[in-house]
Amino acid sequence: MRNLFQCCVVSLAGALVASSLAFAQSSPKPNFGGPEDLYEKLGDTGSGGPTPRRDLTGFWAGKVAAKLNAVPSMTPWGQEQFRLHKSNGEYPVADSNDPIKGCDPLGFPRNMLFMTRGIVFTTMPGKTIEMSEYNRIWREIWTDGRELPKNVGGRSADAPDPRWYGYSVGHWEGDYTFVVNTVGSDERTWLDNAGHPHSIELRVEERYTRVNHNHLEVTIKIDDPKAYTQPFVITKSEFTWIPEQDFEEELCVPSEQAEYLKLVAEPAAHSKSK
Amino acid sequence: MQSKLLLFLTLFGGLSTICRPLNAHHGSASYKTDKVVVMKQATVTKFVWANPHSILLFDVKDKHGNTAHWAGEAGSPSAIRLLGWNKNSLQAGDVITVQLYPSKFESNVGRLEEVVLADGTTLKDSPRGDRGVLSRY
Repeated sequence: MRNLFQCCVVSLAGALVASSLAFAQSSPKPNFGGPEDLYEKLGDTGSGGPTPRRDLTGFWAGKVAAKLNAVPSMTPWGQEQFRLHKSNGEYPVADSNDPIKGCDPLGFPRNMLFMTRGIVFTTMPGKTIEMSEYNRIWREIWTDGRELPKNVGGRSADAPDPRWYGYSVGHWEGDYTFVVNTVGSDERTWLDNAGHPHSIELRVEERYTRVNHNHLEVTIKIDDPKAYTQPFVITKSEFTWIPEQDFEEELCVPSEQAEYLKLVAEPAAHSKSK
Repeated sequence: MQSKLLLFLTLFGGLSTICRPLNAHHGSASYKTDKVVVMKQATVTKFVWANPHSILLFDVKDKHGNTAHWAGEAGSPSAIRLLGWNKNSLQAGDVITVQLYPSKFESNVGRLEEVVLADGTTLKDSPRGDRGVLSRY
């Protein structure tokens, strides 16, 4: 018995060593050329002074992609949708069916989880406008006290249609946290790059907390009983004030993407079944 | 001894199975992530400054004098601008050294690692958002 135990320990250690060696050989050399986004390049910018009260106005830098929490168990409907989604992570680009492969909109909330290099807030009477560097899209967040529509995607004549970026309302909780609730996101969009789905029943709560002048945190909570067995927080990500209050133009251009698919993605790919 | 070997293989097999999901990204990439190919005296034929990918087309001659046409992809302009690139960094006719991760399927395509210009300027591709996986952005 003791011999068996020793054998197990030795075998386990050997397997771990062999595994780590194999991994080291198969990893690309870590030759990162520099910062991956403006957020990383800016680094620690300090607090920047007093925190403005009830104000997010300005240009903010974020990570290319937010760090995501694991999703909870999916419902049978959710599992079936997920099975149909072929992500770029799992498949060569040419073989995936990620909507953004053809420059379709990321949609909400995926646009707050991926390609989040830059966001902008500004205000108009009765609404806050949130814009994204990627594809230069915007969302209207109504702050005039109206309620969210209740029957998005319904068959009645007065039912609002689903939207790529949904319907949003917002309010302040205290002086530094802006809460945004959204419904009505088009089911054609994916929740994340892995291809996790969402349904028209999706409700999203974003909580933007201005920590100080230079730092903004956002927590995003997902509630979609048709797709997931329980609500969950998908991310808590951070943004940094951009001193120049400007950022790059970053558009997914269909003709350029078609050229990329023809010249690079398709020759580089092969087909496989999921 | 035979039983110990069997136990080792069983354990190793089990660990490989456990580890597989962690490496799932690597297994699905189009490129050989463990192999960087270096091509010297390459000639730029076209540089496409594009979203979501920039594309470098170039020619290389093999030892027999035959010309091979290659395509390499790099990150988006937003990503590689931070590393010193711009729309005119590479122009047709430039003679360069290219390092790239080639396709697994023997096509003349790859993900760029870096490009070295005739004057020694080095342009690196963007860091991968997922830290090591050759992702799209």
